[in-house]
Amino acid sequence: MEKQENAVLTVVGVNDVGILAKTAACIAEANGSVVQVSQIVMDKFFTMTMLIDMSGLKGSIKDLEDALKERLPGIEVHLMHENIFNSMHRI
Amino acid sequence: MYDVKDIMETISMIRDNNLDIRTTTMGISLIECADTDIDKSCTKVYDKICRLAGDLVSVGEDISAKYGIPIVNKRVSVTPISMLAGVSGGDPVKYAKALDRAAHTIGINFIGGYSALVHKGFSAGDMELIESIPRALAETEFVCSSVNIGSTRAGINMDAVRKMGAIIRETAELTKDDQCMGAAKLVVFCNAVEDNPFMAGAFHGTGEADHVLSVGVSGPGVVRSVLAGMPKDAPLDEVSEVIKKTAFKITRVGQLVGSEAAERLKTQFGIVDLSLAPTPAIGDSVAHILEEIGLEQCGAHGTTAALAMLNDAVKKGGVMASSSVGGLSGAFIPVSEDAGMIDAAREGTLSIEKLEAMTAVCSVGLDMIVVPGDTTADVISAIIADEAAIGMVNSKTTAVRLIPAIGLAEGEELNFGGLLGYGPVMPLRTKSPSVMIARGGRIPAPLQSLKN
Repeated sequence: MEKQENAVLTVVGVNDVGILAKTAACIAEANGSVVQVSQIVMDKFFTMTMLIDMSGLKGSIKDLEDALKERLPGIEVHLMHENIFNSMHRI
Repeated sequence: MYDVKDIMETISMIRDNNLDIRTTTMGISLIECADTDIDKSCTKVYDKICRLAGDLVSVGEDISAKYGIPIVNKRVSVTPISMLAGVSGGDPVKYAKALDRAAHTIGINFIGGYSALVHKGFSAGDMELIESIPRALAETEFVCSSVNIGSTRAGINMDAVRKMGAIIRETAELTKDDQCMGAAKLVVFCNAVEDNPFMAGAFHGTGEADHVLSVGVSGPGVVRSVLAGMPKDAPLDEVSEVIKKTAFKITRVGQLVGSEAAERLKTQFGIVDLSLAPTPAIGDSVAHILEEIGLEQCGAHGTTAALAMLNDAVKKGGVMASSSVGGLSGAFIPVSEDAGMIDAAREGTLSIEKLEAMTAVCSVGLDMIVVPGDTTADVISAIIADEAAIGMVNSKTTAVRLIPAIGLAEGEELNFGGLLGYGPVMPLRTKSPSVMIARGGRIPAPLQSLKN
């Protein structure tokens, strides 16, 4: 089995119906698998972080990030490899 | 799961504050390429570089895409060419051209190692190489050159210092139609390090493995932005603590990228160089960090103290983050490559004397300083001698990279473009040091005890 490689997704923006649904659909289309989600709406702001297993991902992280950005206009989307956060914030 | 605050901090470091991997540099030993026939030797040099570093650029781009962090430069450093020139004889410029061809083929933007180490004296190939530097830098695009003229253990080779003043001038003259660019690719060192990944002073020392991959991280913008978020009355020990933590995070990214790049290139991981390397881009300036610490402008009294603290904190954070710290590791202060320094030099706040004092407490030396076009070779040599003395006595690396702006006078500016930036001609003292420089010989190595 291939080693699991995760990416961390953050989605921040003004709340609207279907942000989570659109995000999930987009990830599914790229054959990514959601490992963990943390989501909250505060003061009309939608904030979500998601851990995505990329081992079966079609295309690169950048491709998925671009697809998400296109699907969620006006919302801030960042997708980065987990290792960056591991190395910066874990000793 | 990660803390949202940590995630946002990382994203903002990269997207908003110019955190990047400044360079991935592959060091390649060329010892095995030495041949008594210079043409054969050059062919072997070209082949070995292309074979080992052929994928350097594509691997860098892959890793950059994977982690979403820019890797700005991909470079190669090689064994000091004077050693090959010593074996083969002939015109060393042939080697420069072979290096340049290899750099073009593999798509890198600088190749360092057109170098000679003469801190104690000249051996075969050294003088030939030094004399060929002006032509080599004028006739190639990517080749960088360095000469080590002193060390704490050997003292300062004043014959080499005298020579290098003239060589720097000649290099600038030969490239005067191209912003005197040649001189921007030539560094004169005292206590040069063998594993520095940063140009123009990178070369692959003889104590190194056959090939290694080292990275230079950057991030002055990140440090400045963290300091900007602190209250103005926070004591300096707290400021230092925050810089340390930030340097730790920056270095960890360097370690991650470096070890992955080394693995993919089937080479061993060399070192992370922790230097805070500025670029002319706004928000990527070491001078602005010093100003954030509390100086009205870089160059004001207090600059040396602030820089000493910054430099030390960066090292402390970085050393904790990686067990392979090396290279120059400190804060760089290249005038033309730092938006804040350029402004300070233009306004006259930053003088060459202040820069010289700053080099006593930070990496690396008088770097990327544009000096008047009529500066004599002797004055350049004297500046090299002063700077080398600071390095020699303080057991640290110091360097001189001056660009005599041929045809320009004080107040005018040179513009190199790109990372090398632009800068005003800075005034120098004009009284002559000629008699001292003409003496030549050697300044003996300093005493290592009775330190006061």
